[in-house]
Amino acid sequence: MSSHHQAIQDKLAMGITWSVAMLLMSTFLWLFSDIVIHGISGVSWEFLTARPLNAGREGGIAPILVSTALILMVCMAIALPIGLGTAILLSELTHQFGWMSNLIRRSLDVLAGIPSIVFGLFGNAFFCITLGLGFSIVSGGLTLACMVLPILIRSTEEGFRALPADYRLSAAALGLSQASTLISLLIPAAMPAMLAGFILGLGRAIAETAALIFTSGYVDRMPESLWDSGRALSIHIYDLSMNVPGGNANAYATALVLITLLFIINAGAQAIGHRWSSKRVLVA
Amino acid sequence: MNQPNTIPALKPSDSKRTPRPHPSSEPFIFTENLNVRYGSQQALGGVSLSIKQGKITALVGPSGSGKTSFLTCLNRLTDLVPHCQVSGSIQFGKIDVLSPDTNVLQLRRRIGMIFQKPNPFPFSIRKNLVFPLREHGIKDTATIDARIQESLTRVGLWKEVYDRLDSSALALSGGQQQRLCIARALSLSPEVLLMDEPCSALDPISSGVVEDLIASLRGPYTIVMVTHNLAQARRMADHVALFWLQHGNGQIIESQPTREFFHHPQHKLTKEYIDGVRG
Amino acid sequence: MFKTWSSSIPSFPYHRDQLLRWALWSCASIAGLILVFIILFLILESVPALRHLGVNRFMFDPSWHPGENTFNLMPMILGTLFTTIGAIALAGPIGFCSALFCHCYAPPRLASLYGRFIELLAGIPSVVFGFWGLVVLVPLINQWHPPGPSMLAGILILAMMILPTTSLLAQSSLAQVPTEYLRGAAALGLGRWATLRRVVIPAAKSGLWTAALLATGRALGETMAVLMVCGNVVQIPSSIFDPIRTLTANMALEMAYAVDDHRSALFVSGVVLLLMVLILVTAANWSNRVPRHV
Ligand SMILES: Nc1ncnc2c1ncn2[C@@H]1O[C@H](COP(=O)(O)OP(=O)(O)OP(=O)(O)O)[C@@H](O)[C@H]1O
Ligand SMILES: [Mg+2]
Repeated sequence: MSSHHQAIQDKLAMGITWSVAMLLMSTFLWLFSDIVIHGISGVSWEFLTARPLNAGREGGIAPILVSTALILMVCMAIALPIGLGTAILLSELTHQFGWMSNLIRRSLDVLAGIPSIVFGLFGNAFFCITLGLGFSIVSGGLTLACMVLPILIRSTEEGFRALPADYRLSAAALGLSQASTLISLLIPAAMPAMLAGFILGLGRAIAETAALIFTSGYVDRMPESLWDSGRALSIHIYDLSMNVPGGNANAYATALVLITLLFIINAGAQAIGHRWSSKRVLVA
Repeated sequence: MNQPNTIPALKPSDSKRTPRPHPSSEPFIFTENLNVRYGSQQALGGVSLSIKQGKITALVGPSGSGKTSFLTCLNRLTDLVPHCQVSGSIQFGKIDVLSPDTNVLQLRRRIGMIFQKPNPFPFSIRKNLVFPLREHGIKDTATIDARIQESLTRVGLWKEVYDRLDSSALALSGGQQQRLCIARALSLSPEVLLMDEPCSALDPISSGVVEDLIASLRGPYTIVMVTHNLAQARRMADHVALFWLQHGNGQIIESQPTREFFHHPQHKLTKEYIDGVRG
Repeated sequence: MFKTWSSSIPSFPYHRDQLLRWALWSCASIAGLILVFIILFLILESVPALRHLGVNRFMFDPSWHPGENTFNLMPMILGTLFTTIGAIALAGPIGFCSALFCHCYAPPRLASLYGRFIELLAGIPSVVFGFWGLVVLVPLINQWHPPGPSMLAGILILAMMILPTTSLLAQSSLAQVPTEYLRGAAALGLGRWATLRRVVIPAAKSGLWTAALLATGRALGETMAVLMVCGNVVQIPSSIFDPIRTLTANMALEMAYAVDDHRSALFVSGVVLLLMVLILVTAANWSNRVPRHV
C-alpha cells in the first residue's frame, strides 16, 4: 500500500518537474527564436560597419561596437592585474594577516551582490565627477572593472587553491623564492582558471547596461579617444526600443549581435572548462 | 652512454676521486632540544640528534611520531606551514638554521629534499631541471645542459629519457618520476639530502631501483631518510633513530649505529618495535 | 668549478619576495576598498538631501515630484518590493523544480544538455529580457487587460531573469548532498521521491534558502528589465495590471538630468536599495554558514 502510494507520488513529482522544465525551455526558446527571426534580416556586413543614422533607426552599429570593445578593454586592463594580485594574495599568502584577507574576502562577497545600478551611481559620483573623468569610456570601463572584480578573483583564487600543495613544497625545497615559484610555476598552472574567470567577467561586462547609462554615456558617435563618451551595445538596444519610435528593427538586430557575442564567449568558457578538467598538463 | 661526459660530476660517486672537505665521522648537523608545535598541538618535544657527514641516517617510528616534522625543520620547510612554531637549535656546518638571518633559499639549495610522492612539476623533463638551476643563478646554456646530463646520468635516467627530454615529466612512470626528482635535487649539488619515505609510494621493482640509487649516494652526500620499512633501514642505514610518541609529543627514544640498534637495543620499546610487537 | 656557487647566489630573491608581497597587498587593498568607497560615496552624495529634507519627507510627502519639491519614495519602494516578491514567488518554485529535473529526473544526457542551456540563459543580458518583454509580452498583456506595461509584466520578466540563476544555485546545493546519504537511503529501501523528500531536500535546505535569498537580492537590484516593461508611472498599484515604477527604474530614468536635492534624493534611494540588498546578502552568507543537519 505504502510503496504503491510512493510510486504515485514519484510519478507525480516526475510529471511536475518534466512539465516545468519543458515550459521553461519553450519560453526561453520562444525568446531566442523571436530575436533571431526578427533580427537576422537586419544583420549584415553593412550593419556592422556603418554608423547609425536617424537616431539609430537606420544605418549600422560600427561606433557602438568600437565603444563596447574599448569599454571592455579598459575594464579588463584594470581588473585583470588587480584581480590576479588579490587572488594570489588570498590563496597563497593568507597565513600572514589572516584577519585582513578574511575582511577582503568578505567585502568581495558583498560586492558581488551589489546591484549594477548602484555601481552606476558610484561610478558617476566617483569616476565621472570626483576624478573628473566625465561621461567617458574610461569611466564606464572603470565602473565595470569594479563590478567584474569579484568574479575574476573568485575564479582565479579557486584555480590557485586547486593546485596541488606539492608544487609549493617541492619548489620551496629546491630553494626557489616565492616570487619565482609564483611566476614560473603557479601562475602558468593556474592559467586555465584565470582564463575561465576572464571570460566569465567579460560576459558579465558585455551584458551590463545599468552601470553604463550614466558613466560611459549615450553618445553614438565614433569615439576619438578613451576620454570620449561612447555608447555600449546594451545601451543602444535600450535606447532604440524605449526612446526611438520605429527603432525596433535595429534594436532586434543589435540584440542578435549581442546574444551572438555572448554565445561565442560562453562556448569559449565551456571549451576551456573542458580542456582544463581533461588535461591539466602544461608542456613548456 | 651516448655522449661523452665532458664536465666532471658534481659529486662523484667514487668518493676517492675528490677528497671531501671534512672527515666523514664528524657530525654535520646538530639538533638540540628541538620543539615543533602546530598551533596548540606539540608535535616534537626536545629532540636532540647529531647527523654524521656522508652517512645514511634512518628515522623510523610509528605514524604521527614526528619524523616528517623533524625532517622539514632541517630545511625550514616548516616556514610554509601556517601556525607552525619551531624552537631549539639546529646547527648545519657553521649555519644556525633557525636564525631569522639565515638565507633559507641558499640553505634549501644546500639541503635537498625528496618527498614520499614523486612530485615533478607539470613541465617537460628538461624544464623540471632547468628551472631550479636558472633560479639559482646558472644561466649559461652549455653549463645547464651539462648539468642536466650529469644529474640524469647519476640517477640512471639519462639512457631512458635522453631522447624525450622535451616531453612531459608527468608521463614518466612513478619510479622514473622519483628518480627525476632526485636528479632535480642533485643538479643543485646539495650537501645533504632529506628523504621522506622515498620508496613507499613505488612498486617493488621501482622501489628497489631507487633504493640502490640512494645507497650509491652515500659518501658524497649526507642522507637523512624516513622509512617505515625496518628491513630497508637495516640494509641501508649507518645510523638509526627511533621516534616515539611520548607524553603527547614526538621524541627520539633511541639513536644508535645500525648494528647496535638492531642487535642491542637499549630501550624496551625499541625491542618491541623491532620485533613487530608495537608500532 | 662549482665551489663558488654558494656566494654567487644573489640575495635579490628576498627583495623580490618583499616587492611581490607589497604589490599583492596593494592589489588586495584596492579590491577590498571598492566596497568601502561605494558605501562612502553613496552616503556622501545623499547627505545634502537628508540634511535639507530629513528622513520623514521621503516617506510622507504627497508624491514624487522633485520639480515641485516633493520627494515621496514610498510608491517606488513598494513597487520594488511587489515586483521582487512576485518574481521570487514565481521563480523560486519553478527554479527548484527545474533543479530537481536536472539533478534527479532527467536522463543523464538530457540533464547535462539542460544544465548547459540554463548556464547559457544565466548570461543573457537583462536589456534583452527587457526588450523581449517590451515587444512581445507587453502587447500580449495589453490585449488581455490594457494598458500592458504593468506590474504583471515586470513580475513575469523579472521571474524569467532570475530563473536561471535560481535554478543553478538550487542545483549546486542539491549536488552538494553527499552521495553516501543517497546510498544509505537506497539501502533502507526508500524510493526516489521518498529519498528526495526525506533525505536530499532536508540536507540541501540551507543551500536552497541561500539560493532563494541570493535570487531575491538579484531581483531587488535589477534595473533594465523592469524599467522597460513596468510603465514607470509613480503610483501605488491597485491591481497587477497597473503600471508602476521601481527604485532602480527611477534612478535610471532621472539620474541623467537630476541636479541638487533631486540628484541627492536619487542617491538616497540608492542607499535604501543598497541596504535592502546588503541585508539579503548577509542573510544569505549567514544561512550558508549554518551547519547542515538532516
Ligand atoms: N601541517 C600540519 N598541521 C597541523 N598538524 C600537523 C601538521 N603536520 C603534522 N602535524 C601533526 O604533527 C604530528 C607529527 O606528524 P608527522 O607528519 O611529523 O608524523 P610522521 O612521523 O611523519 O608520521 P607518518 O609516518 O604518518 O608520516 C601529528 O600528530 C600530526 O597530526
Ligand atoms: Mg611523515
